[in-house]
Amino acid sequence: MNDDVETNLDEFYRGFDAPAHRIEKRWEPGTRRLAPVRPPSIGPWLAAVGAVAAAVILVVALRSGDAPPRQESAKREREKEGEREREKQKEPKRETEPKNEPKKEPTPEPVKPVPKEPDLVVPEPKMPKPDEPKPQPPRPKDPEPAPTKPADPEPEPARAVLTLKEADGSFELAGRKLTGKQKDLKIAAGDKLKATAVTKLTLADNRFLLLGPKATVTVTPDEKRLVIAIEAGDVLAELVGAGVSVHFVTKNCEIDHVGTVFSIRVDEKRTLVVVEEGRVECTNAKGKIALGAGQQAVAGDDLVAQTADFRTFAWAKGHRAAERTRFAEDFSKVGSWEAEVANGVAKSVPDPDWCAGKIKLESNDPLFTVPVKGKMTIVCKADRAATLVIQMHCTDPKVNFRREIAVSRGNAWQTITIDMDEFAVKATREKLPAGAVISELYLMYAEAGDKATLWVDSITVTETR
Amino acid sequence: MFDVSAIGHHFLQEASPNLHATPFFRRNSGGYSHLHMTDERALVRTAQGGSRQAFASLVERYSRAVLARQFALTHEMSTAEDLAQETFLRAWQGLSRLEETVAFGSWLLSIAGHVGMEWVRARQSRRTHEGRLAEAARPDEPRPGPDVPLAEALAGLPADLQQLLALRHSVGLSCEEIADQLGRPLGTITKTLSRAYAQLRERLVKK
Repeated sequence: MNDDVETNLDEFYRGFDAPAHRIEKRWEPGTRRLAPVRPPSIGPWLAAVGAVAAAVILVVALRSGDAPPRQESAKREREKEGEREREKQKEPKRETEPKNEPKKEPTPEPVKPVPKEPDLVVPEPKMPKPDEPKPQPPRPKDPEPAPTKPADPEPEPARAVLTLKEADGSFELAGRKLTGKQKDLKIAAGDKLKATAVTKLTLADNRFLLLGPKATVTVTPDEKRLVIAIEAGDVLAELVGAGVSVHFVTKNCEIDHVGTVFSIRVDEKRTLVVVEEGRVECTNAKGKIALGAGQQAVAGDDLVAQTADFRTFAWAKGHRAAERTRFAEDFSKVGSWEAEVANGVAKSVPDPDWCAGKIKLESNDPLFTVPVKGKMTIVCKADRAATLVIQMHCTDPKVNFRREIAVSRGNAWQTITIDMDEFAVKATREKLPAGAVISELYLMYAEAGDKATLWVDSITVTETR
Repeated sequence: MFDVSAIGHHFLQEASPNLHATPFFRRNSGGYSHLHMTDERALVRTAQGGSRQAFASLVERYSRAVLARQFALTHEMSTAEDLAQETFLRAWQGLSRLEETVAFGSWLLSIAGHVGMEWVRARQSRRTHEGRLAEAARPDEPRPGPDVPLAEALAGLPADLQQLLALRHSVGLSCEEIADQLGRPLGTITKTLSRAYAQLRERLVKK
């Protein structure tokens, strides 16, 4: 009987092959428009309304601001306009076009009247400069004073200037060759910086960029953010912590990030974005990809997410810290720990349901994010040999990852080091994913009912590079 | 190039950057590509990150199941196709709200159910307003196509059972593969499938 049902089901699903193929084709990346399934009823009217609305918005924007509207805000407007239109189209009878391209702007009309906005996502032979506050006249020579050369006295339009805390390496800035450490280096908007060896650019907020040999970038600072257009080569950005917003543009895509370490490689055909920490958004005409730690995107003819290949970081290895601490607790304060914390040491407390002694930290805020490569170090001692279970709760996916390790009895402090990839889900053996946010940390020592105590001097989670 | 099974939550397409150049699934062929084994949860997670390509793979996986669900209501392939497309569109728009990536299939089929019911309500309303009640009373003419009673029986099953049947018979996965894909024990999968067959048989007998 089962066989009959199973055979029927196989045949039944096969009956949908033709329409299924049609639907699948519509969702293939790169598919822009569907063949209309239903005749449009009020589409032209809505398009006209959208165009009028866009024109009104444009006029208002031009009247209210002295400077031309920025690329990003115009883009946002277009997206909002498209969304509003899609909402309207949904109500009476759904049109086919937005079905194909849920994230595309349906009408190009609002864009047409804006003359000074190059589309960043379209590959161009020259570097795109999305946020130039003013049009750039052809520059004869370097305009700003630099440590090794006096400023050009010729008057020219004022340009925004980025002052780097330090530039260390060997590079050409607007045609000038500079080597060694350059303190308070000023870079005017539109200046091209070409590294001839690995060069470290330290921003005023101490975050830094590493330019690989032959990397060529154009820096465009404005009031709110810094736009770095990468023409070619490798750039590693270590932008962890607060600071000015940095936006990257290549001929293949735009890159935005949140407190992140990532590298960008631009070659003739594609841009590769590899994320080591935090989140990065990669956008081009094909769409948008959000990347987490351990992922990479290839932007070229398409925009594809992949597992990161960190060999692209290899050139930067000697130019940044080999390790970085993601979490450190020395129990100098009681804090939120469920334990007896005194004199810089945490002593486990009994938990009759789970273990002989536990030390636990739970937080609504993330304790740390899991590094792509890293380790946890616990300095501890115990009054009885037993198994220590180290368990971390991850918020997404909401799963506990754990590692069991034997601790011997003794009065001397022992240092236990565990690679982060040794943590796994107990039932499925699924490994702790890079970028996972940890919100709880448990140390559970010995079996419930036993008499055993664990003392912990420090817990550290370190990212290794 | 990479061990796909070791990726965890990170979707991997390194081995075949042009995913759609080759068929992602080969139904009941017995010879699946390594991409066939790509974890569904990873696909969903990547699609949630904005990857259209990952979502296209999910569409490929569930297109027949969603079509079958809509066909059960409409008895008409072209309308079912429209509703299926609408279902995928809504799923794409709401994907970020899906928390349990393992439940993507049943979530999608629930959306299909909602879309289908909206269509039914709209049709009833149209017929009332246009005074075509007589037409509504006229039985649909039988057309060559998929088995309608089976489609209706299938659509009446809970979404999670529909998901399993789709993965088994539409995608052509074995029970072990389904267990791997959904991260559930093999025993659970086989028992649930047996329950699905039993319920399906029961519904078919009643018809």
